[in-house]
Amino acid sequence: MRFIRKTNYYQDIQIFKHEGQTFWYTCLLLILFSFPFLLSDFYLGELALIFIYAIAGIGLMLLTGYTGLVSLGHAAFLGIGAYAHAYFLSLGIPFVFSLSISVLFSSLIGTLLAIPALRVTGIYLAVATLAFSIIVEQILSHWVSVTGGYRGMLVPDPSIGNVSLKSHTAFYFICLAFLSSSLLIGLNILRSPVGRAMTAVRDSEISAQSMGINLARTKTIAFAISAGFTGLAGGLLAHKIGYLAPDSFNLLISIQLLLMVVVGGTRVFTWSYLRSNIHWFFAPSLGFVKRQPSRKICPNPRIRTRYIWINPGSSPDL
Amino acid sequence: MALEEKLEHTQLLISGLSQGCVYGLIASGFVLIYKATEMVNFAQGDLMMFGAFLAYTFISIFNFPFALGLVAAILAMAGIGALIERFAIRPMIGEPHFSVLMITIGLGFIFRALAGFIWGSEPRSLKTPYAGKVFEFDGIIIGHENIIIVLGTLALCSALAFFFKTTNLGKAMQAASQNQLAAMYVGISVKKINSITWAISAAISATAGILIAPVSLIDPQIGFIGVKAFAAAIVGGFGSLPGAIIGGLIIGIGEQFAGLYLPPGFSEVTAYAILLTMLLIRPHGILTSVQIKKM
Repeated sequence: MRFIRKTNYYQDIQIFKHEGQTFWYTCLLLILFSFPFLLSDFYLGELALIFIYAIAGIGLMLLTGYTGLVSLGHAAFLGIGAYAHAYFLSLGIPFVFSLSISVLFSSLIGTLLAIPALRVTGIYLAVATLAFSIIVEQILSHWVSVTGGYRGMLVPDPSIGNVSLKSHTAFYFICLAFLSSSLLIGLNILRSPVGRAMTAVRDSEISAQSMGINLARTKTIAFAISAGFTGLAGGLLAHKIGYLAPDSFNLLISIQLLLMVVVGGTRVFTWSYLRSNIHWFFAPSLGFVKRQPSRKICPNPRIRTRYIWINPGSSPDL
Repeated sequence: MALEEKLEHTQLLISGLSQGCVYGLIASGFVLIYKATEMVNFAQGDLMMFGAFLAYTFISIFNFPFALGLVAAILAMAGIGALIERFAIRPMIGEPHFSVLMITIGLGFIFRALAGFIWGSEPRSLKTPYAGKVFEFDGIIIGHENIIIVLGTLALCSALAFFFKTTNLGKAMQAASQNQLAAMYVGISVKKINSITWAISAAISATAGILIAPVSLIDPQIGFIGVKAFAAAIVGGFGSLPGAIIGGLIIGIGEQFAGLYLPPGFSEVTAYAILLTMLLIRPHGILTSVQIKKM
């Protein structure tokens, strides 16, 4: 535990609180940069997948952890991002533009979802988002002309200009770049007025309102941003899995995303919850690194359930 | 033509009614637990599946007489419900609701895995004395199982109403659901009430599972209709038992007619479309009894 002597209010909103953090995060980044030279393609692929889910996690974290709105339907945004990106790519739109359009499109849908979702809170909201995701899944299965229905859809290989990004190393770096910038953007949103309004709404809607925060606006923005991040993850995920089918974005994925965020700690942002993703995949081997034994978690429902028993404070209040 | 259409509509109405009754029953399981403990049990559909499998085991494997197997399965599920409350839910009192929700989701996974482990994943059919028989009435064909579902729901609802209105235990449960602390002060054992609530809720789900077993086969995945039942509970106004049944009927009947008039795929989403519309128009459902808490 380090105690920081604060001499300035701006210290409270700095991304790196002290030199130690700067140092360790730089080290982490260097290590991540060195992985392509150390690890085999298989592990690079797995790491890229973790990065992608981490981006989706950032999206859900902003909504659930920081605005206090629980979503059981985020797989839908993953799906929307993935299908939109694959569709735009197949129309011949370049990678970067296609990905940006998919993110915007996903945000737009998020904004639309906010209209019914604003009227409800807590468990009602969770179920409203769940209903939304099931509707999206059905649309993906039945809108054959765009999505290919149950036959699925092939995703074109990623490339910028004439440079193909198909190799594991290139894709790893792409995902790392997107994850790092998403984290920076997410952290910057959180220290902006919008982000602090979101936190205020989470802590108490009534006091937030009495301080002049527009609840509807803040929540809608939270939905839009969250959907955007998740859409970005979806676009990258499309390349990762290479072949889209409607049932790859079902309720179980939503629950898994939510668990990822909950297990990592809904109020811990930065790289620390990336850690939870890493645990997700390499739980047993990495368990000893962490001080808290309860953070050893693996994708097993029984253990997840146990985990919440052990550490109930990690989940958001409803 | 007009006559045929009318027949078709009646037919759909009847199958929607029986499907809706099943949704309504599971929904009332949700509502009971929510009213008593303010917790949401996402494993309700899986409890239904498990109950149906237990009935299948008792009747088709152990060769119990139908009625005995039925009662045994319902009692066993009540016991399982009470055990879940004691060992999974009671330690969570005072923790965020969301944690409890996650636990019940986890329990749902466990039940599904367990059912797959014990009975395998291929669909089973429950032998009933009434399956396959039909009434023919003025050109309308009604399966006995549909009638049994509606009658069973009616009987169960009146039994519940009677239980809550007249018996001491029922009144104690109502008191506990209104204010647990106050109930404790007047000498009601709230812990026991919670256990009993879970037992009753699991028993209702088991009944729903047994009722639906002759219509749709039993396999570990049928628990997913719990999600639709949840939508029904919200449409009816979470926290109101008659509302749950009404919501179930609306969704059951809506689904059947969407299957007739709308392109394929729409009948799958009807329940959720109804839910979202309901949340837009009347966020607290048809029969509202939920009090909004100020935080």
